[in-house]
Amino acid sequence: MRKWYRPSGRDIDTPPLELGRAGRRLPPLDLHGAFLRRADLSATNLSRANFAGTDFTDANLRGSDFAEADLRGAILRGADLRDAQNLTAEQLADAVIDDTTLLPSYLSYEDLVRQREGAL
Amino acid sequence: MAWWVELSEIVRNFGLLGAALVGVVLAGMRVVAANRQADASLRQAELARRTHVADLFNRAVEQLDHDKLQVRLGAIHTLRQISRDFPDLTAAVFELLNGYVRERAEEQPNEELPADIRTILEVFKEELRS
Repeated sequence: MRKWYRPSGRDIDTPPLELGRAGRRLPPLDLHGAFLRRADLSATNLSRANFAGTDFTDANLRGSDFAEADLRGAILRGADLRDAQNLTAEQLADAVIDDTTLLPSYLSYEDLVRQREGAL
Repeated sequence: MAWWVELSEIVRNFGLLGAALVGVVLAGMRVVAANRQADASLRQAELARRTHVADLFNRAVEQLDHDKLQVRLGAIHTLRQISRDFPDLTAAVFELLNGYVRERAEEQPNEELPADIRTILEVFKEELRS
């Protein structure tokens, strides 16, 4: 049986908004599970974006901001992540990467592999 | 006799002053009425504009489901323009296009992104330039 309740302000789950062009507030990108091979999202504010399970094979993500972005299960083989900002090893821990993934200078594939092996 | 002339001048001056005050009040009332009318016209024009945009938005949403790529591309460009011209609709356009990509961006045989998905990613890049 359906339970009726009176919604309160706390029940409303509104996503935080990102600052877009001309100071406009925008919802973060939610492209989870999309097939975006060879996509170009370089130099873009991808903060808080949901890319869980997104296929970014050979995508150009150079110079983009990944603060708090969800990359769990994202496929990043051959993706260009050079100069990416706010990208952490934790974010990449559950992403699919290989030696063709171009990482920002502050992350290395070997370190990520070691970290992953250490976690197992 | 002189005091009579003086009195009549005083009365005349008061009369002129009274007439001037009435004129000022009437002119003020006219200005207020004209302002109200202008405000009402502006509100009406804005309402008509918003109705037009709502029509455009709804038509674009319907066209996103069209079988022909050209029609879908036209809808995406319309939404892009709405997003530019009406900042209060940018978030709605954004959410709509996010949903479109999630639904439509499926595996392609030649691994090239279709033109509609590419165009939407350009809109995202434009709006979220870091």
